Amino acid sequence: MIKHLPIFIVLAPLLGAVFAALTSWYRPKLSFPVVLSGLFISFLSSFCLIFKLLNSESGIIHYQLGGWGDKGEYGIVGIQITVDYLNSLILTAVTIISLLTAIFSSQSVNRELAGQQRYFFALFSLLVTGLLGITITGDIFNLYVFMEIAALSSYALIAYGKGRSYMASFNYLIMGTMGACLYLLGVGFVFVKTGTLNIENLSLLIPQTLQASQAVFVGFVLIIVGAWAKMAFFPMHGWLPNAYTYAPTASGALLAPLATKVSVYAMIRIMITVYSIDYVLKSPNIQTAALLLSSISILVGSFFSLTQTNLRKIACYFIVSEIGYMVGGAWLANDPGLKGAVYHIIADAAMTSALFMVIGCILFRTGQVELKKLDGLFYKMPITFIALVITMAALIGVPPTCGFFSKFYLIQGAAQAGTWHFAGALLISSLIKAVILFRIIEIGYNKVPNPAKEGNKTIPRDEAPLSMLIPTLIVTLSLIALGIFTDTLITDFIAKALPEIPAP
Amino acid sequence: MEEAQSTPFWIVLISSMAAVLISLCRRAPNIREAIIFLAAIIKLALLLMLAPGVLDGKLYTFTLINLLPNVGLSFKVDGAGLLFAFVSVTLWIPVTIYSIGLLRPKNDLSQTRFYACFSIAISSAVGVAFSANLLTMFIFYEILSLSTYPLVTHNQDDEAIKGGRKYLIYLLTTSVGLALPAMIIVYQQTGSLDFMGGGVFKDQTSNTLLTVLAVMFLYGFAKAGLMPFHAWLPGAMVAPAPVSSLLHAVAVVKVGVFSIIRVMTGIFGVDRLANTPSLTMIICIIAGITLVTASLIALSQDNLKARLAYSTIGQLSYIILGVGLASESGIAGAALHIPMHAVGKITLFLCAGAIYEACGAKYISQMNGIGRKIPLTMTAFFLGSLCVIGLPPTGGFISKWYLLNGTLDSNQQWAFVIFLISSLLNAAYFLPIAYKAFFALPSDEAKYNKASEPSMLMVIPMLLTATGCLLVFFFSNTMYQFVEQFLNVYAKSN
Amino acid sequence: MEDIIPKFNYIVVVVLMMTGLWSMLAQGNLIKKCIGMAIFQTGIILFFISIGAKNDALIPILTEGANHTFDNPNIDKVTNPLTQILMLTAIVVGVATLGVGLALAQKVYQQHDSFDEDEILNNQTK
Repeated sequence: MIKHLPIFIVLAPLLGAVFAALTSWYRPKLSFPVVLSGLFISFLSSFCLIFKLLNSESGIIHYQLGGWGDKGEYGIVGIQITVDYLNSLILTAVTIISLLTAIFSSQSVNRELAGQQRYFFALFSLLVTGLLGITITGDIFNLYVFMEIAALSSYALIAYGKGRSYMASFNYLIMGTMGACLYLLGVGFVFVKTGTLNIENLSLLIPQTLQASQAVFVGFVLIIVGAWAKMAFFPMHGWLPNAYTYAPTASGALLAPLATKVSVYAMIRIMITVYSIDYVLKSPNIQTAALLLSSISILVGSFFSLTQTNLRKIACYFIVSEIGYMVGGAWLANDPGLKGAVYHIIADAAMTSALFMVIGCILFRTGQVELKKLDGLFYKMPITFIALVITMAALIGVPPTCGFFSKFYLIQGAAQAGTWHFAGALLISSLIKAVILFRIIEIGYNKVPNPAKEGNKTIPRDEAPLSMLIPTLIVTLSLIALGIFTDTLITDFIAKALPEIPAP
Repeated sequence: MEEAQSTPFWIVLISSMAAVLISLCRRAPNIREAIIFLAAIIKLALLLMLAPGVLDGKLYTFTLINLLPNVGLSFKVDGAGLLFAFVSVTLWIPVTIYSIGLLRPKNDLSQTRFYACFSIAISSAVGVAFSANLLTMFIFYEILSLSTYPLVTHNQDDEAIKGGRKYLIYLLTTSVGLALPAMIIVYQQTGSLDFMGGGVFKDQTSNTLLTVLAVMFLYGFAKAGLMPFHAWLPGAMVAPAPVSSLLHAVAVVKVGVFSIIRVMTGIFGVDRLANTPSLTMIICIIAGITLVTASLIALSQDNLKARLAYSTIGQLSYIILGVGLASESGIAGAALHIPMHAVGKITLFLCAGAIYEACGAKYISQMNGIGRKIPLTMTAFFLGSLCVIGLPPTGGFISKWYLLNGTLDSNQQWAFVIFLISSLLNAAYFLPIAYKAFFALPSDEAKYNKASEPSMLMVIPMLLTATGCLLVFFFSNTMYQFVEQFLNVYAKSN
Repeated sequence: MEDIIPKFNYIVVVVLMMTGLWSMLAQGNLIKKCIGMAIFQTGIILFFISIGAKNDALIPILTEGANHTFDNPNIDKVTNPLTQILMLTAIVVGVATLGVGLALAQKVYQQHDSFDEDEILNNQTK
């Protein structure tokens, strides 16, 4: 049983989706508990795997799908899934966040999607399957398959929003398919030269024997560009704001923190395991271009968020700039940069999840998320408001939240590599987020005459329901917990996952 | 002589725990206030427990948790830190009494929030005093900025919001935009952020890098009020008087200069500073310009609180100038000026609030003659101004003495003249106020007739702090002993 | 010229991909975008299959010999089965994506009565 833990992580939500779709023929209300149990099994498996990983000597747990046996004379046959230090934390993060989001969305789905819950939750579970599959797989074609599973589910999940979401989902479909196809093409180029699709095999072949191969280089570029399209990296970010804004609350809360971050993980995996840091450093033109695009992405995301009045759109542009952090950190290709990028995957997943959950709570209670109409939010929903302030503080990078430490590492990496435009972009985006936080505080707290003073009208407290509030609080508090335990995370997990990077 | 003890951590934590309890006591104001006094007394007791050890030369250390490789949330208690913490906590008590006297009669319904945020602010100030490395100090610095925001915008009217906005924008922009990158560069260059005697930089570090970092730190810690990032101080005067007095004369601004003292002595190192005249010259010039300009602007202000605000900006630059001199006397003067100026300024601000409560006068031109009607308040004001100007028998004299000596020991001897000029300016803008209050004819009849001594709850704290101005003169030797221990670690040349 | 003709499959693939890509991005009609997407994916699928092809190649299916053995003497004359299998998966993915895309386009049409992107944008912002 323990031996099969890795596959349970992916299998449980998949079966959950299938059973949810089937059982909902008889009893529609069963879909939610079935999905919830699938996600819970997945969470337990990933959690147990972390301990198994820490106890193992090699730091990697392999699992052959279908039991196709160990490496024979032909190398690894069949599809292999791997759990190592790089993806174990991300797996756990994905499972926890999806579990909390599922609990969070029960009420909002009932309200926004009456009658459609059963299929919605099946798709929900399917999306989680895809994301977990991307994270855990050890085969680059298998990654494409899971990527498309996640993508198709997300197109459907977004389209539940009705109204403008159809067009938004369609645009996402076009961009996403383009990205996936480019990725597939890249895989093809790599396959032509190496004959294998297994990441472990490739990591042995490519760095040593195929450094100079043109085909492998083109494959690298195509894979990276495909991943960029999937993660809404500038200039392929246009689909994200519309897609996540017009999606229903639950879809947004699930997609925003996870979908793009998992693509970042995929990019990092290809960069450091398949191709090795050395290879990345030897392709300086790509590196410079990637860093420049990251800085532009950060600035574009930050400046556009200033001009928006819809809280959800602001949050989406934040995602665009945060993706810039991660891509830039990864492409700095030095020790602190990579640590910062990987740490930021987890930190940003938590921050975005908290942000979208808070916005979901506000939408649920007040019916709208226009910034100007949030007068007196502090008095109406104090706990939610404080959660919002803490999340924004994490995004700005106020210690001791996790946002501060990821910025610390990223700026350190930029200083080490001498890429000052990246460091500058990071600081500017922090300041812009601070401006938005001031606006939120002023409108939500100060604009309304203090109801506690006599003579001013009182605002009744109407906090979000518990099923929405508790997941929000858990994720918000985790922001501070992640920050406090940064050192543990970095030295015990992330540092072990990264290869030895020669200091400049 | 380091000794590990968790006491520093508890000292910091106690007022935060008090803040949580306070926020639960909305309906029981007496219990709420009692909690504050209890917390303050416990803190003082713990501080007094640490005092003998520190005077002996011990350094109490404590690390809570490791946050980054080599850097943790660490505390270290030395002479200067203990002195600063002492000042903050001791002055917290009279200010709380004053606040009770001010806010209760008005039935101010946000008092709970007020006291809770106040407690957190005191926590962060003590946290900064006890920080062992740059990261811990930065964390508490930011917590201080955020926890004082609700205090600044307490009245929640348009003016308060604008003042609060300016406050946060200046403080957060400079700390995130200048201090944070400087901190990261230090970490990048040296691998650690601890404050160590002799500084953390190796000798080969270039002077240009040090100069750039120094400027970034000076302006990054905008709470120290160096121009042009001083504008938040006059803007924050929209806060109620107790806030202005404790926080902006004592805790917030002193945290700023204390941070700079720590950075200059612990990160750059006194020896390095003394041997790099170009670096000290820049620091002294920046501080000197702020000094003189602030004093001149103070002369032209008619609003009492504004005049006090600019006077504060000037006095803070005294401290920075003292550190910039990089001589033992200079640093001693700077460290001593923290408590001396604190006790003087707090008296002045409490008096300003009291004058407004007594007769509604905000402008100095309205205050002629009211000394006859509110003699206690104006006497306290007179003593406070003596302390800030630096005349015996108040404590300000001692710190200025050390500062002046420090200029002669250093290689920036022109600073001597700057100090003298600004002292004259201080006298010029403070003495006339008290003089006119007592001896001139009333200028504003309505206010004069209305004036009467405010409630005892407000007068007694003022008199306490005014007496404090005299006391620190007589106890200056004890205070110097604390500073001496600090100098032993950081400034004695080998 | 002699170098290019044996690699004609790559040229065909490039032409297909570029056509599809142009159609996906530059065309305003939603259905044309979907068709472009299908063409783009077809190009890639052809690329994969063509790299596995050989002259006079046999089908990669093993025949059962005596005693249930699967020894096949012509194993090195078959086309690469791996690419074909991968492409079966990719075709399925492509069909599914096309289906979802067309369903979305239909929903958009029900809302705005038009497949043209510009008209839809105008309609939305009204």
